[in-house]
Amino acid sequence: MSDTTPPTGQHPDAAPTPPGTPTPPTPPNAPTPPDASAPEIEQQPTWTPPLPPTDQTPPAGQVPPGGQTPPPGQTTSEQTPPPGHLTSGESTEPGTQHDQGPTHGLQPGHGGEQPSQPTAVPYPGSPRYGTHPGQTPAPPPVAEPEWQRLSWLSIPVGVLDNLASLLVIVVSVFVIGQTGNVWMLIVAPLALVAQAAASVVAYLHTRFRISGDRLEKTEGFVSRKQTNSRVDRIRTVNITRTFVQRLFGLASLDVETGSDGEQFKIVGVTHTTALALKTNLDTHPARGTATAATPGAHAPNAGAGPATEPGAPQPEPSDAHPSGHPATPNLAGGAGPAPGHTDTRTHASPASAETPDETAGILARIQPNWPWRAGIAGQGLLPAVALLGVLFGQLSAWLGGTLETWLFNNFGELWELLPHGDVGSLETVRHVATQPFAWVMFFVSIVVFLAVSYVANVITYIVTNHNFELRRINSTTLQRSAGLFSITTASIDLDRMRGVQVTDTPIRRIAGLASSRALLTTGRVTLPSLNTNRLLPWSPLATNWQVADALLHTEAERRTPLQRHGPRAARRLLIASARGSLVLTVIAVAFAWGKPAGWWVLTGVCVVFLTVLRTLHAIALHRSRGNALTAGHLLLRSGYLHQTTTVVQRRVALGVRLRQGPFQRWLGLADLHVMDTAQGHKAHDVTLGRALSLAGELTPELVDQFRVRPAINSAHHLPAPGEDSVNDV
Amino acid sequence: MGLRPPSHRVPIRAIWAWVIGPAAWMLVRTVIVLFVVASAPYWDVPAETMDWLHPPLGLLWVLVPLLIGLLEMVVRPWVKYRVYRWEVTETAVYTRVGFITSVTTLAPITRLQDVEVAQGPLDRLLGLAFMRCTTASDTIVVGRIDATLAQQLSDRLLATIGADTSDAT
Repeated sequence: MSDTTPPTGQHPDAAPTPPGTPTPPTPPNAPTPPDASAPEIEQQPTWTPPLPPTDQTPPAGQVPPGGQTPPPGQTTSEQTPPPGHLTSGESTEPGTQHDQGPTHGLQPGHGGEQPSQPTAVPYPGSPRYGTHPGQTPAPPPVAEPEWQRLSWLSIPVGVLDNLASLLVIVVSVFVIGQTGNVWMLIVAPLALVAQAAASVVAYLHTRFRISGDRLEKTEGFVSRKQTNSRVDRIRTVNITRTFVQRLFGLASLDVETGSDGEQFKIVGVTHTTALALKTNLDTHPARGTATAATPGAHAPNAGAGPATEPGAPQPEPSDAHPSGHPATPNLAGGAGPAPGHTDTRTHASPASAETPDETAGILARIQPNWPWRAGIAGQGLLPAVALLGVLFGQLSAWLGGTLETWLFNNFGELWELLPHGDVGSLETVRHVATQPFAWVMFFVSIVVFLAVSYVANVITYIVTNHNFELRRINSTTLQRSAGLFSITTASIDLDRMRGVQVTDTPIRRIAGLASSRALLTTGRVTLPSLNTNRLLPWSPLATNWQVADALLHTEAERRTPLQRHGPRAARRLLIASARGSLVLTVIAVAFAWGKPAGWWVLTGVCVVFLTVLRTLHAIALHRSRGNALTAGHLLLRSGYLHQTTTVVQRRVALGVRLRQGPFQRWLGLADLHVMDTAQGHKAHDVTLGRALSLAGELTPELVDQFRVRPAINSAHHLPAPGEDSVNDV
Repeated sequence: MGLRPPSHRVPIRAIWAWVIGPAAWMLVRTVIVLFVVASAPYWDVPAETMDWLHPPLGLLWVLVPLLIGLLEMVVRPWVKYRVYRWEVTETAVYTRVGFITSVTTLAPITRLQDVEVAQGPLDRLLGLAFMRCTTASDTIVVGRIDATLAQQLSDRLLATIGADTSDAT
């Protein structure tokens, strides 16, 4: 791919940073080539961008030597990025990126990245909102790091990506509609042109960078939008690559931050840039600080960090990769201490060597039998129905309508019965039910459906999870990568991890499957789950728990038997179920009123069937519920059709909320909601006594002050208003 | 074992806020419906298709909302007054709201992120303010309380929050 996009040439504005640009700290050399300004930002000489991902060999040559020379000044640079950021896949590639790894972190700013040239800084005033008090005091902008931009290849890729989906639509319209639809011929090209225009605008007007402890992006032409996220609020950093993007060596970066409820998305940068950004974010001091733990890798940083920090807020994205850079002086100079470390992780393979971390390593990897087992359930039914419909239509057309004729000959009687007035008569029902052929067709079509959907499920699973691997790249970062055509690489910040949630469904339980996700905390709000925190796809239950235990160290605690919710909770579920059945019955009677007896039989059967189902579900639901509190964790299980088992650290408990509806008050039950920084954790229908004791143990200093002296109140009773002394204020 | 209820009720004049607010809405609704019903005969529409809008049937459209509004005005405020409770201690915010479904919330002050005190025109008239606190993921409604008190409380809470440098996670 031309990925090696022409560095400078492309961007008009790309001219080397004008001297005037803000690189305050730059040492005397500043005027000299950009790189000279070591400490800061600018250094990025424009060097050629990385190569296409496919062959990422780092052309050493590419790097302009000068560019990265590590000026002495750099020493200040803080941190060498810890090694391990690459995805396993990448590991194959020569160390290119890695090498750089270290560099990036350190240099404050430069965006060595390809695309980012020292483009003129179009938007000088980066959107920097007030720094938070708590945060590292970013010294006045030392030098704002350079803005980086998308790869020009994002234009063709945007169009091609769109073309692919457009083709699917066009083809399906033609196939299903069977007659060519002229409109499609007009609309499709128009859509392509619109997409091309959008891609061009995105290319011309999107800028992004890591500035200090903020990740910034400006985009849009007509309506300009600035996004600004705190790096320390980042929960996950994902790299996604569609098939077309892979062909062109591009990637998209998805950053999930808790702060503004938005996903920070950069679509269409070179893979190397994406990797570098990810590396910088994964190893950013603002995120790393929390984890004092990692000895080896971080240590160097730590040392260096503080010093540098003041001066240079941060690691720029830029450095990324590097392809060639590795050798560059930067490393040497900047990270003095670290060089060794940095690289190490990246080279995934022999992991051990460098990392002091005993923690690095593969936690789980897809096994050949996973897809076959996972095919048992999934969304395959829809494609199956669609496929069957299309096949039927085509088959029928090719056979000149003989299929329909054949069906009509065999089913004609049924069809003829339907339009007649006596649809609901007992005779009709009996007649249909006694046609052996009807039953044969019924079962055959079910079997075909199941078979097709099974195959569709397996294919979907493989497409999504091919080469799935969950790897711990250092003590604070977990990396998940998978995909057949488009590959997703996600990293999860272990410092933000508070627990694991394992999910399964009844059908998958038969196959012994479950999937799990990490429970992450953020400083502020939590987004609805975006799947980025997923740990494992549908995989054997045992694997799920192994991973959970490895991450949470809960082997022993997990064996704690869960406390069931008791007979009163069961009664409440049955009452609710009966109430629903009653409503259903009323509706059914209203529906069948005045209709022939056949309808009464049909609706009666339906009502009985649903009532039995609901009752069974209530029982199963009750049996699945449980809770336990261990030394370090809260264990909760709930749900039947979508059963989740949550193991979460006790310390997440921030507050508690008790909810009681009328029936619950009557039965002495309550829903306990343990509030945390995310959606919290709920235990439904626990006895009030249990709810209070859980609440009391989770947050003793909070609850104890409001306890009633034992003599006054019974355990299962929240005092009614007015029962105790009250002050009007 | 059990929890005692939060120690404070809302001030009794909050009832006025709960009465007057719905009353105003009821008035607005009634006027709109009245206007529609009264003007119906003049619409350029075949009368028989609009039977349901003409008096006497049309009066139902006026009376039913009126009745609902009255109920809302008379019953709801008293129920709310009996049920709503709140308490703020040195370390915690403790509230109880809800009649049919009662919700009891306990949250530590150190984990609060924001305190909001809002005053509508009616609140200002009555010297009330609506206070609620926000944690990382939840909103804890304290309710309508005395405006001065709300201000003091909020100042105190904000000072406590500000003093705590952790990021409230």
